[in-house]
Amino acid sequence: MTQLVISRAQRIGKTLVASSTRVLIIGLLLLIVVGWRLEPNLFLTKSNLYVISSAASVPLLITIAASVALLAGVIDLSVGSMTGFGAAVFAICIGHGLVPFAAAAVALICAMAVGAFNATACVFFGANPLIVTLGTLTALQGLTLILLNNISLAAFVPGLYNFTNATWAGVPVLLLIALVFGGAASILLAVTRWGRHIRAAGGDPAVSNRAGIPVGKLKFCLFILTAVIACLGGILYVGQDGAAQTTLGFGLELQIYAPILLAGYSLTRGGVGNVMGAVAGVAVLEVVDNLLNLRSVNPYWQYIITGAIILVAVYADVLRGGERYE
Amino acid sequence: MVTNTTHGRLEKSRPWASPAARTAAVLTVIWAILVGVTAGFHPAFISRETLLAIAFSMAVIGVLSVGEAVVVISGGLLDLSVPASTALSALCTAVVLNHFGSWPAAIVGVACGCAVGLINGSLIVLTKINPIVVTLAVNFAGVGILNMAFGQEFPLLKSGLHDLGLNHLIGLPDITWLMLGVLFLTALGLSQTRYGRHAVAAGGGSPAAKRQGISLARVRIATFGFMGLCAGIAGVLYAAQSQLISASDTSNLLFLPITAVILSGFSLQGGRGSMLVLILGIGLLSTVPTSLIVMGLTPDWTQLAQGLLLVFAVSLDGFRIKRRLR
Repeated sequence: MTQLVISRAQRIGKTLVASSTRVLIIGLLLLIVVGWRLEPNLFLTKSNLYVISSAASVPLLITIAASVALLAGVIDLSVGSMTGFGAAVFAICIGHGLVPFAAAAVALICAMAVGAFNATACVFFGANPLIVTLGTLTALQGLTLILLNNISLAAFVPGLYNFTNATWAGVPVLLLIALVFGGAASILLAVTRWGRHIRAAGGDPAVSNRAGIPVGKLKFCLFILTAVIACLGGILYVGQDGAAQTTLGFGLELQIYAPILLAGYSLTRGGVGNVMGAVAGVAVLEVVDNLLNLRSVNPYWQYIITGAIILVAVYADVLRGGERYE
Repeated sequence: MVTNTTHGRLEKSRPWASPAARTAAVLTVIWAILVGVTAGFHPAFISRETLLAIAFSMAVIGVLSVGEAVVVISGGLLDLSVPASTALSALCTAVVLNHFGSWPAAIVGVACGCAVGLINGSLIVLTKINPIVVTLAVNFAGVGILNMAFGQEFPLLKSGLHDLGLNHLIGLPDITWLMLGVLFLTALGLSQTRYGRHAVAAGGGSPAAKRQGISLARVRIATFGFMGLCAGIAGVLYAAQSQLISASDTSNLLFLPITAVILSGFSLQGGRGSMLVLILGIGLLSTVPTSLIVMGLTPDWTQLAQGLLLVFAVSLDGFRIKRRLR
C-alpha cells in the first residue's frame, strides 16, 4: 500500500466510480458495437432504444434499492416474487373499488410486513439470508397464485398508465426517475453519515456494532426498503401492463442480482461495490437481453448466461479478496 | 461415561436426554398432531391409499434428504442444484429406458446425477465460491439447458423399472425400502468408515480438520459427488413412478429435503445431526403436501407452506447457532 491517507475528495470519487464500473462501461460500448454489427437495421433504431429503456426502468429501480441494501450485507432474493405479490395485492384492491393511492398504500404495507418477516429471520435469528429469502420467494409465489386464483387479473388505472408510459424528450420518465434515484443514492452513500454507516455495517458488523452503529436496526430498515421498492415496482408493472400477471417477477431476482454482482458487490460480505456500477450492470444485461430477443435466440439461453455471469462475477470477488470458502 | 452436550456442560450419558432424542420427540409429536388434525377434518385420511401416497413421496424426498444431510454435516452448507440434477437423471433414464431397457437406464440416470454433483464439487474446490452460490448458479444454468434439450413432456414406456415403482413389500412400496436402505448404508458409512468420519470432522471445524491432515478439497468433491449420486437415484425413482416427465417437474423437490434435514437437527454449521432422526424429518415433511391436498387446498398452498417451513427451519437453526456461540 503506497498511500495510507486519502483526501475526502478522493474518497468520494472512489466510492462514486470504481474500476469495475469502468470495465462495465467499456463492455457496454463493445456490446453496442457488436449489436450494431449484428443487426445494423434493428439495433440502434429509435424504437428499439425505447424498448430497451422502458424494459430497464423498473428493474433498474429495484436494482438500486437492492444494491444499497447489499452494501450493508442485506441480500433479499425474494424481490422477484415480491414484485408479483405487490402487483397482485394492488390489482385486487383496485378490483374492490379502492382509490389507486389507497390500493398502493395497502400493497406497500403488505410489503413492509414481508420485509419485516425476512428481517426478523435474518437479523434476530441470525439465519442465512440467501436461504431465508429463497424460502420467502417460494412462499410469496404461492401466496400470489392463491390471491389471484391462478389467473391474471386486469386492473387498468388510467393515471398510472399515463405516468408509466410517459416520455420526456423521447426517454421514458420512469427511467429518468430511476437514474435520479440512483444518482441520489450514490451521492448520499458517499457524503452522509448514514451512507458510511451502511458501508461499515456490511464491511464488519461486529466492529461496527462496537463502534456504536446500530447494525441490526440498519439491516432491518434495509430489508423493509428493498421489499417496499420491489412492491412499488410491481405497482408500476400493473400500470404498464394494465393487469397483474401470474408470472410477473419469475426470475426477476436474478435479473437484479446478476448486474449487482457484475458491479463488484459481494454476496458474502458487505461494504464493497458502488451504485453507479450496478446501473451500468443493468444496462449491460438489458442490452444482452435485447440482442438475444432481436436474434430470436431460444429464451432459455438467458438462464444459462445469467448462471454463468453469477459464477464469473462471484469468482472475480473471490480473487479480489472476498470470502474464500473451503 | 461422560459426553459433552450442546451447552458445553459435562453430563452423565443419558441417551434419552440427548439433543437428538429431544428433536426426535418433538418431530414425532408434530407429526402426530399433523396426522391428527388432518384426520379430524377428513377421516378418510387414515387409509392405506394415503399411507402409500406418503410412502411414495417419502422415497424421492428421502433419498434427496440423505444427500443433503451428508453435505450439511460435512460443512458444505447446502446443495441447491437438486431440481436440475434430479430432472437430468429422470430425463436421461426416460430416454435410455425407451431404447435399451431398465438396467442401463437406471445406471445412466444415477451416473448423470453423480456427474452434476462432481461438477458442483469441482467448481467449489477450484473457485472457492460459497457452495450455495455455486449450486444456485448451476441449477439455473442446468434448468435452462434441460428445457432446451428436452423441450416437451417425455413419455415413459412400461418396463421393469415401472414394476419396481409399483411393487410392494410388507405393506410399503419397494422404492421406500430402497430409500431406507440408502439411509442406513449412509449412516453406517458416516459413523463406521474413515471417509465418513473425515467428512463429519470437516464439518465440525474445518481449520482443525485441515490440521489433522484431512484434505478439505477431497471431502467437498466426495460429499457433493455423493449428493449428486443421491439426486441420480432420486431421479430414477421419480422416473419409476411417473408416466410423463418434463424438465420443470422437479422444481418442488428442492425445499422439502432441505427443511427435513435442518428440522432433524442437522446444523448448517456442520458436524452435528443424526441419520436416525432424519427418518422422522423425512416422514413429517413428506406428509405435509399430502395432508394439504387431502384438506382440499391447491398446490399453491403447498408452495406457500414449503417456503414458510424452510424459513422457520433456517431461523431455528440460526437461533441455535447464536445460542451456542454465546
